[in-house]
Amino acid sequence: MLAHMIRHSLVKSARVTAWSLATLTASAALATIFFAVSIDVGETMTRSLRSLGANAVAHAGQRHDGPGAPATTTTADWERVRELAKARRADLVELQLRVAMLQGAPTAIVTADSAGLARMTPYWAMNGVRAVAEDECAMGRKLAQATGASIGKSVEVHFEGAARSERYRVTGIFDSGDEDEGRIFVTRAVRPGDARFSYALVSVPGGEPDIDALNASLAAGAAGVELTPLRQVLHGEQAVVGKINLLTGITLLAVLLLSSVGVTAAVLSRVIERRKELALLQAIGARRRSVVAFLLSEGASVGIAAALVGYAVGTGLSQVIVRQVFGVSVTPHVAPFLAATVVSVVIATLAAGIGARRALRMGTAVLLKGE
Amino acid sequence: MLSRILLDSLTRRLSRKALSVVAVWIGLTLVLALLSLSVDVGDKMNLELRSFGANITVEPLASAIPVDVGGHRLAAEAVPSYLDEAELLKLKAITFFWRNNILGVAPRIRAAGQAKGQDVDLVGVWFDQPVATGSEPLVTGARQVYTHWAVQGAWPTRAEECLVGSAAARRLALAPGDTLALAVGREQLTLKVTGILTSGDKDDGSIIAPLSAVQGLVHAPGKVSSADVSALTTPDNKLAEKYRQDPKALTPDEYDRWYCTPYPGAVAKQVQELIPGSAARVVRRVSETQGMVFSRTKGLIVLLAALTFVVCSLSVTGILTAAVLERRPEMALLQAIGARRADVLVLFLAEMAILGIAGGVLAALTGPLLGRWLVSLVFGSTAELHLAVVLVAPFLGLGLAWAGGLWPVWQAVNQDAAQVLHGN
Repeated sequence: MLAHMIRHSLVKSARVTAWSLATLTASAALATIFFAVSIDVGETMTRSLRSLGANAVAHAGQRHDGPGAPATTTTADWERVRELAKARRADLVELQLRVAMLQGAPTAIVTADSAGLARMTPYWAMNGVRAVAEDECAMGRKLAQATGASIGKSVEVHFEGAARSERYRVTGIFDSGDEDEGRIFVTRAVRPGDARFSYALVSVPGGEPDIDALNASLAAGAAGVELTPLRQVLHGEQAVVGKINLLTGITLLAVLLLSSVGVTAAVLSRVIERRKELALLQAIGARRRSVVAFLLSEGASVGIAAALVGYAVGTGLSQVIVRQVFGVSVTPHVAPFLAATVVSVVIATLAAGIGARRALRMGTAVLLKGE
Repeated sequence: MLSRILLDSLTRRLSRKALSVVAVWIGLTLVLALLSLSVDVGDKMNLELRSFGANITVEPLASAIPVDVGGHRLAAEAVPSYLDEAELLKLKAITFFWRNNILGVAPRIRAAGQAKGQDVDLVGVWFDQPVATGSEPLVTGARQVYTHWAVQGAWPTRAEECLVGSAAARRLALAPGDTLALAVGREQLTLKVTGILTSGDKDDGSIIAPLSAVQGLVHAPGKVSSADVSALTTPDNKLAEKYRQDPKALTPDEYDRWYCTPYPGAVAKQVQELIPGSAARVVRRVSETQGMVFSRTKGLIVLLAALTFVVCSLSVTGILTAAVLERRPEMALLQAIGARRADVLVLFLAEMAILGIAGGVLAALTGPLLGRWLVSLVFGSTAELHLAVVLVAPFLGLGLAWAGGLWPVWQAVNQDAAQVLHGN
C-alpha cells in the first residue's frame, strides 16, 4: 500500500520529482567528487610526484664492529634487493661506478640501463639524447664545460690497469645541478670486478615511512644495502601535502554544509508544494504517523535514487578531474559513497521530516480551503 | 505604484525575506572566502615551496669535479678553489633585481681533516647569520635553507660548537655533549658536539661546524667553496625550455621576457653574473619537484573554488526556489486583479535583486574576513584584503538571486491563475 502510494505520488508530481531528483543527484555527485578528490589528495600528489623519479638511494651498508672501530663496507646482494623492492612495488635501477682518467683528471663513469636511468632521472634537462648504444655516453654539463666536450664528439677514458682506453661518442649533455653533472653515463656492461662502487636509484611509492619500511625489510632480508631517503625533496613534499590536506578538509566541510542546506531546501519545497495533498490524506482518515511515514519513505526513496546516480556520476567525473590535475587515477573508496548517501538520503529524509512537521502543524480544513 | 507594491512586499513576512538574505549571505561568504584564498594561494603556496630548501648552487667557475658517491670519496680532490664570502651578500643588495626572491643563502667551505685517528669530511656553514640587506634584517644560513635537516640535540649557537652527521657519529661514536678534537694539517680545533644531523645526503658523513671556524683551519678567511641558494621561482615553461635548448634561438623580446621572469634558469644566470668567477646551477631535482607541486596545487585550488561555487549556487537556488514556490498564490492574485505577466516578473525579480544584493553586501563584509582567517589557518600568515573580491560580492549576490529565482518565477507566472488561486 505504502509503496504503491509513493510510486503514484512520485509519478503524479513528475515535474517536482524530477527537480528534487536533479538537485539531490547534483549534490550527491558533488559530495562524491569532493570526497574522492580530498580523501587521499596527499597520496595522489605523492603518486603524481613519483613521475619525477627516484626518492631514495641504495648503497652498500656500513658495518661497525664496535664503537669507534673503522667501518667496513658490507657486500650488497643486489638480486635480493631487487626481490624485496619488487615486493613493495618500488622501482629500482642499479648503477655501477668506475673511476677513469679523462684529460688527466679522475672522472666517474657510471654504467646503467638506459630506460631505467631515464625513469629515475626524468628531471635531467637534456640537450641531445640519452646514451643507448654501447659506444655512446651522456655527459653532465659541468664535466662537459671542464673538458670542452660537445655533442657528437668522442671522449677517450683510460681505466687504471687496463690495457687500452675506451671511447664514447657524446650523444647528450645534461643539467642536473647535483653530483651527476660531473659524471659520464654509459650503457656498456662492466666486467665483473671492474666496478669500484655499486648503488641504486629507487623510487618507492609513498613517502618517508614507506622508504623506512623498505629499509627495514632490506635489513631483515640481509641484503647488505642501506636505503637513504632523499630528504630534501621528501621533506618539501610532506610540508606541501600537509597544507593541501588542511585546505581540502576545510573546503570539504564547507561544501558538505552547503550541500545539506541545498538538499534541505529542495525537499522542504517539495513537501510544502504538496501540503494540500497531505491534508486530503488526513481528511480521508490517514493518521498523522502514517502521513509522516509516507513522507519520510518518499524522501528516502528519492534520496537513494539520487545517491546511486550521484555516486556513479561523481566517481566518473572525479576520475577525469584527478587525471587532469594530477595525471594519475583515483583509487575508488567507500567513503565517497557514504558521503553521497549521507548528503542525499539522510539529509533528504531529515528534511522531509521537518517538512512533514511544518505541513501537519497547519489545520487540515485551512489547507483544504486553500488559505 | 511598482515601488509601493515592492516596498510592501519586502516589509511583509520579514522572516522569509531574512531567510533568503541569510542563504545568499552564507553561501556567498563561503564562496568569497575561497575566492580570497584562491587569489592568495599562488603566492602562499610558492612561499611554502621554500620548505624544499636550496634550488640553486653557486660554485667557483674553475672548481674541480669531486669523484665521490654516497659519501665515499673515490678519488683525491685537486687543489680547492674558492668564492669570496662577501660577494654572497650582494644577493640581498638593493641593486640585485631578484633580491626579494632570494629566501636564504647557505655558504659552505669543505675541508678534509682527522678526528679520533680517522679521516673526516669537515664542512663549514652559516647556521644563523644576520645579513644586512639594506631594507629589512635577514637571518639566513643552514637553519633557514636546509629545512630538511633533522637535528637530534641542539643547533650550534657558538663558534666552538658543531653538528655531527649521523653516519660520522656512528663511525666516531659521538653523541651530543661530547667534545671532538679536529686536525686539519697542522691546525687543531676542539669543538663541542651539540647535535646529530640526519640530512639524507653526504652531510650525514661530515662534521658541520661554523663557517669562520673552518675558514680558520684551512687558512681561507672570507672564502667559501660553494653556496646553496633558496630562491622563489616560477615553473619552467616553453620559453624557458627554448632558452635552455639554445639561448640564441630566442628573439630579443623573448629574451627580455625570459630574463625578467623568475625562471630557475634566469635567476641562476643573474646570480652567476652578480658573483664574479662563479657558476650558478639549478638543482633540477628540487626545481622540477617545486614546479610540479606548484602546478598541481594551482589546478587543485581552481577546482575546489569552482566546485564550491557550483555547490553554493545550487544550494542558494534551492532556497530561493522554495521561497518563490510558496508565493505562487500571491502572483496569481496579482494577475487576477489585472497585473500583466511582465509586471509580476519585474516585481518579483526586483525583489529578488534587492534580497540578493543585500546578501551580497553582507557577504562582502564577512567573506574576505573568513578568507583571511583561512589563509592564516592553512599557511600561518596574514592575507591582504582584496578589493576586487569585496566589489564583486553584490553582483554575485544579484546573479545568484536571479539564477535561483528566474525559473520558478517564470513557471509561476505562466500557470493558470484561477487554478493556483483554487489551490490546485
